[in-house]
Amino acid sequence: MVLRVTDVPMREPTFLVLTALAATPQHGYAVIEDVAKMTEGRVRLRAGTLYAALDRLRTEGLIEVDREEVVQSRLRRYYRLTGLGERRLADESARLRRQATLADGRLRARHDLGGSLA
Amino acid sequence: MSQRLETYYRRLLAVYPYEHRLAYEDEMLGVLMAGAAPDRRRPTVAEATDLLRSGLTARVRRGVAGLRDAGWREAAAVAGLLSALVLAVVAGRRAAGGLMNVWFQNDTAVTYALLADVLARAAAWALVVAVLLAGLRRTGAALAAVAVVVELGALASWGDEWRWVGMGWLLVLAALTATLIFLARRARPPSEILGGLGVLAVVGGLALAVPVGALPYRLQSGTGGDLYHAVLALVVLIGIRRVRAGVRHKLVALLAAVVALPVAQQLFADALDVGRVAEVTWPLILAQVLFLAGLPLAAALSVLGVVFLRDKVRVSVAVTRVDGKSD
Repeated sequence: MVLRVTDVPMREPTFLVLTALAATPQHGYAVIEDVAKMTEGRVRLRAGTLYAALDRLRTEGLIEVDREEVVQSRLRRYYRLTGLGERRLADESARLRRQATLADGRLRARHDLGGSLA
Repeated sequence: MSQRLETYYRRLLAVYPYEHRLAYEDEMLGVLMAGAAPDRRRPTVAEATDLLRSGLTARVRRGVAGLRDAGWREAAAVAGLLSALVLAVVAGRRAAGGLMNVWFQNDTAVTYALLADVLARAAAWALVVAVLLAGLRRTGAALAAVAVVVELGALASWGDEWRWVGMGWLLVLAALTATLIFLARRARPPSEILGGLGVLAVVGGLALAVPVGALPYRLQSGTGGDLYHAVLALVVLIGIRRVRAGVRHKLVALLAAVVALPVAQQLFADALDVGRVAEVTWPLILAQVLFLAGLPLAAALSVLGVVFLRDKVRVSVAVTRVDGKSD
């Protein structure tokens, strides 16, 4: 069996970075804040981890630079999802949904079985 | 205060490869400074760990990708060709000397027997060179493996364990050569990488060292001989200069390892005063292995280290210029 890149489950930081960029282009610090907000503070990306992910996602063509601006003499780059990134995020979202639905179904069956046994 | 914190962050970011720094350093500094509390004077341990881990990972990833790139394969192709030539020339010079003895001596039976060894080795490596120059890289890799077996057979045929010690560097060079040619089997052919003039200079420069083997030893090692060899070395260097810039420093690193082998053999022999050692022992063999593996590795890494430091200085200059413009 040959595994395609799209068959490999996405790591959580990658999924969260793509999700943060799904609605609107954002710069690095805004992505960190957004991810923290989405996960209710559970995941706080650090700069090294974030830029490793951004660099890899750019290389894979899932995100691209939307625009650059200089704020307080420092470069600020906004990133956006590409068409390929949108499809990969949609695929991953569907995969997670299928797994969650499967888990819900099994849990319901467990409770139903428990009810009939009781 | 924030300037001091920024300096700490910059020091940590220096661990990233220079392409990454050029692309993201300014941006990452902005993110790090934006995320730092106003009274922060130093990066937190978690921040430092994250930056060091990510930076080193990026460096290793680029290093591994770099080893797979066409530049290293091309460097291996030329280094493989050159070291196969060196092996052919070393055996060819001995053969030339032996043939001169045959010419001047009546008792040729013994000399012919002695010549079989060097002639077989010279022919095996010359064939490898010819096949590589014809662009048959996979056949060249297979023949290089056969040539290593010929070298082993030639050594074994003497039935003398001191022969293995004395010729140890040639055996290591043969194995290194076969490895380089194998690794370069998907590279462009050496004739394309070097170009016509490059091939002419490299092959001609080394091949012209063979007839010197027919001369008496005092002429080979005298001032005239040294001058002749220096001119030939210059011709070979001119040939190597034909290689494109991106490949050249990689080629020099590989050739440094090749050139270091006979030097390592000599240093080993001098350091342990091998001429006075009564018998071949395991510590002696271990010492030789350490010399023959350690010195070439150190030579290649030294070249790469010098290139790395040169690139680092260039990056610092480039970053300083960018900073200067943004101020």
